[in-house]
Amino acid sequence: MSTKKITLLSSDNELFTVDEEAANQSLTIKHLIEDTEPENGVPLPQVHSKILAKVTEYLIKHANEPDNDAAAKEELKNWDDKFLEKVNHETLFDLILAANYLDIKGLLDLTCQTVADLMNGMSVVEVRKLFNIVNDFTPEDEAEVRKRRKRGTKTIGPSNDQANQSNH
Amino acid sequence: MVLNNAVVLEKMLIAFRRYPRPDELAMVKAKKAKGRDIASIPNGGDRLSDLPDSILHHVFSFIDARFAVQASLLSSRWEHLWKSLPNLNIDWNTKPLEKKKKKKKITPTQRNQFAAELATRVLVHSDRNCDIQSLRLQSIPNSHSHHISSWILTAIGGNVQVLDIESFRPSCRMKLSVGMFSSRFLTTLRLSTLYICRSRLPAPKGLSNLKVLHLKSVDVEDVKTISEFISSNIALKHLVLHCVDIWSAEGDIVINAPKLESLVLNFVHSKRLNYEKSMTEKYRIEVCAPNLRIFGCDSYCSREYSLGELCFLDSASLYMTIADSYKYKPFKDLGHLPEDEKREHVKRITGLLEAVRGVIFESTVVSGSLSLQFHNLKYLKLETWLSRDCVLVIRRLMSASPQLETVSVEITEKMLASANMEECSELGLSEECLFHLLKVLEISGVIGCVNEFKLLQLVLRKAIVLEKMCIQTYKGAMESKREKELKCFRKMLLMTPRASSNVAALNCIALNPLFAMKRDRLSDLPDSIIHHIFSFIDTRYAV
Repeated sequence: MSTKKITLLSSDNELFTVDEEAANQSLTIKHLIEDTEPENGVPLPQVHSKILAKVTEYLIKHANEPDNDAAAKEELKNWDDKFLEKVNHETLFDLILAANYLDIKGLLDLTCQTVADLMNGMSVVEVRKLFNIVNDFTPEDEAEVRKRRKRGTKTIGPSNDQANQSNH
Repeated sequence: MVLNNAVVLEKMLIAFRRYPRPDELAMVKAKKAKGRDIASIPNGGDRLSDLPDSILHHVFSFIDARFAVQASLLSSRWEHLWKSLPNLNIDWNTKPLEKKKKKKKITPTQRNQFAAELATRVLVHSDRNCDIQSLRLQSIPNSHSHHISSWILTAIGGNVQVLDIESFRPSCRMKLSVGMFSSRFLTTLRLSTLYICRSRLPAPKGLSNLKVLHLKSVDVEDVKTISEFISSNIALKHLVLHCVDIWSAEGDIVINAPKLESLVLNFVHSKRLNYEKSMTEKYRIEVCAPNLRIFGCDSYCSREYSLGELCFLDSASLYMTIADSYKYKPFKDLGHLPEDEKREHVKRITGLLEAVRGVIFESTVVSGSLSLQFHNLKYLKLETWLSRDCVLVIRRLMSASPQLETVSVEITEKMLASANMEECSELGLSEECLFHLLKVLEISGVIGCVNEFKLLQLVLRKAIVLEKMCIQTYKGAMESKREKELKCFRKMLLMTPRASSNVAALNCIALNPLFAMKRDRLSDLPDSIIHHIFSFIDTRYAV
C-alpha cells in the first residue's frame, strides 16, 4: 500500500507532513488537493502553526478509525479526552475555528462537545464569568427578556394543557 | 448523556483552573497575535461570542435545549440564538438550572411542565424560518403524551432529519399513529417505549429517505402495522428491533427491505415479553432483504424465522435462548425438565439454524451446488448447544460460506444437558469439501461430549489453512467423571489428523486453570512428547 504524503503550509509558513489518508479527514484539504494539486504544500493561511500542530496530531491519530474493535475505540476516546485536557480556552476556540474551516467533523464535534460540557449546568452569571462574556443588556433590557420568557411560559403552558385535557 | 458529563465537566474545570484565565491571557496574546488571522481578540477576549452562529448551534446540540433558552440572558449576542437551533435535545429528567439557586423545591410536575413548555415554545411558537435538523425528546412523562403528536408533526413540517423520541417509563406508553410519519427528509427515526397504533389516516406514503430505524421497547397494535411500517420505507439500511411487543399477534411479521444492510433483532430482554407469552405467540418473522450484510439475532427459540436469500451476508451472530424465566425457577439445567419438554426445546433452539439451513437446501435443489449461498460471510458467531442437528447445521453453514474465516461457537451453560444427546454420526467426513479460508475456530463451554469432538475433528481435517483453534472448557463445577472424559477428549483431539500445515497453533485451553499451549516451537516434537507435556499439566491440576 503506497501512502502518499501531503504537506500542509500554515499561516506562518511552517510545513507539516501527514499521510494522505490522515489529511483526507479534512474535507477542505481533500478538495484543495483534488482541485489544485499544489506542489509546495497545501496553503492554509487561516491556521497558525501552533494550532496546525494540534490538528495534525489529531488527524494522524484518527487516520484509521477502528470499525468494530471495542477496545481500540475506548483507547481512542481516552486519547481524545487527554488531547483536550491541557488545552486552554484560547487554543480550544482556535481549534474550533480551525476544525470548522478545515471541515473535520470529528474534531469539530470533539471541541464543541468540550465547550458544551463546560457550559452545561452553569447559571448565566457563571457562564459569563467563565467565558468573559460582557453583559451588554441594560438592567431594563434584562428585565424585559426575563419577563418575556416568563410571560411566554404562562400563556403557553397550563392553558394548553387544560384545553387538551378537556378534549380527552 | 448530558448528566454523565457532569464528572467530565468537573475534571475539565480543574484542568482549566491551572491555566490563566482568558482575560489575563488576552493582554499577553493581543501583543503576540498581530500576525494571526484567527486570533483577533476583541471584547476583552470573549472568544465564545465571536464564534459564528453555526458553531454555537453545534455547541448547543450537545446540551439540553433549555440551557440554550437560558443563555439568551447572557448578552444581546445570545438573545435570539435559541430561536434558530437546528438540533434540539429536551430531556424531561434534566433539572432546570436557574431555579437551583433560589432554593425552592421544584416538584417533578413543575419540572415536567417546564420541559413541555420549552418544547412547545421552541418548536411551535418560535417564529423559526429555518429547518430543524434533529429533535431528541427524552423521558417524556405520560401526562404530556397529548403534546407528542403535535411536536412530531411540527418537526416533520420543519423538514426534520433525525427524530429520537423516548417516553419516561415502560408503563406509560404513548400512542403514536403510524400515519404521522411521512416525510421526504427524515433519515433517522428512533422510538423508545411507545405504543404504535394503526393509522386512521390514509395509508402513509412512507419515509422515502429513511435510512435508520430503531424501535426499542415499542408496543405495536398488530403484526400488519409493523410489517407495513417497515416495508413502506424503501431506502431503509439499518433496522434494529429491540423488545418489540405485538399485541395481537396473528400472522407473520414481514420485513421486506430491498436495501437493508444491517438487521438486529432482539426479543429476549423484554420484561413483558416473557417466556409464557413467547410460547403462545406463534407469529413467524419473515425477512426478505437481499442486500443484508450484518445479521444479529437474540431470540427465544420458540420464534420461527424465515430468511430469504442472503448472498451478501458478511457477519452473522445468532443467539438462541430458552426463556429467562428459567433463571428464577429452581431448575439448575435442562436435565430437570421433563423429557418431552426437553425434546421440544431442542427442536426450537435449532429453529433459527434450521431456517438458515432451509435456505441452503432450497438453493441446493435449484443449482446443485452448496456453495451458492453466503458469498461474503466471513464471520460467524453462534451461541447454541451442540445437538446432532446443530452440528449438522453448523457444518452446512460452513460449507456454504466459501469466504468464511472465523467461526465462534459458544456452548451456553444452560445447555449442558445436551451432552447426553444423540450422537451425530454422519458428518460427511469423507466428502471432498474443504474449508479453504477458515483460519480461526473458537469454541467455548466445551464439556467433552462426542458432538463437540466431531465438530472439532471436522474442522481439523477439512480446514487447510487453519491457524488458530481456541478451545475453552465449561467453567462451572464439573463432576469427576466429566473431567476424565475431558482428558480422553483432549487425547483424541491431539491424535486427529490435520489438514492444515499451520496446525501448530492448537490452543487448547484446558480445565479451569487456563493454560494456553502455544505450540509454535513444540510443533516439531513427536506427539508422544506432547502427550507427556499435557499429562504433566493435568497432574498438576489434580494436585
